[in-house]
Amino acid sequence: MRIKDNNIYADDGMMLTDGKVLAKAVFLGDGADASVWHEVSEKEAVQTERSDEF
Amino acid sequence: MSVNEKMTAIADAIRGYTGGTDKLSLDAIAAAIPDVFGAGEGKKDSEWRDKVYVDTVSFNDTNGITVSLPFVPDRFCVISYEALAMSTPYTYYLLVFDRASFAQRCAQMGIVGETLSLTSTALNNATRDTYFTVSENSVIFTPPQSSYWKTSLWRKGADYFVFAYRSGKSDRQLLEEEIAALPAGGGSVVFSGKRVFETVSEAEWESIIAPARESGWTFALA
Repeated sequence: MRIKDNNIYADDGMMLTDGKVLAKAVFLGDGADASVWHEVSEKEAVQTERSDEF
Repeated sequence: MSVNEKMTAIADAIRGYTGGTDKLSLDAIAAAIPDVFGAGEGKKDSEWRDKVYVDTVSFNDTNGITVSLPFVPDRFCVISYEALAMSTPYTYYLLVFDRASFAQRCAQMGIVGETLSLTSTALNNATRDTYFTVSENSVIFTPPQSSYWKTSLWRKGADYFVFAYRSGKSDRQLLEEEIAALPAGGGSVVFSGKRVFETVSEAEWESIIAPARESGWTFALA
């Protein structure tokens, strides 16, 4: 995870999540809490979010 | 303007719709009015057909949803509805495609040309971008909260409403309009990173979203 200014970028093969959203990059709004974002692997992210339900 | 000039202007307008250069008598002007109306309606229909496509399609056992579009749209929606509970009689789910991702989505979903074929698998893997709930006399829109890999309630045999629209605006204009339309108060919103960086550079993106960030909006690029 790389933080520059108020932007967070996921490393290669990783994604950022706040528990609800998956992202490759996050541009934080003023006052937003950066600590809610953490990295998960892309493989783990897909397993978490993908549904087999119709 | 004299009466004669006004009548000539009317005759010129009629000739503009119906063609020809012949002078028109008053009787001929009166007789031409239905033709003018028809020509005007035809022109309007043609403009409408170039911009908007609306249809109802059935979810087919083997093919999912298939619809032939007359143009490549800026926006494409597939809308379903289900009765979930008495308190929320109908919930409509929207699957929204934007122009920048249309080619990519087409490739993913096996679309050839402008014929859209949404297979069961494609629908299941598509992103549910937003939804709204309809009660007796109101519609509640919920903005995108997450990049869920979930679309709910696609049912075989059910009818789905499809809507395609071509605005003629550039990808950048569409992106800027969506960001400008974010309500006051802040929150989080997810955009397609591919779409954003196929449209603008990162520096341009940061410039476009700067006012929204100052008002508390966080942008996640999926």
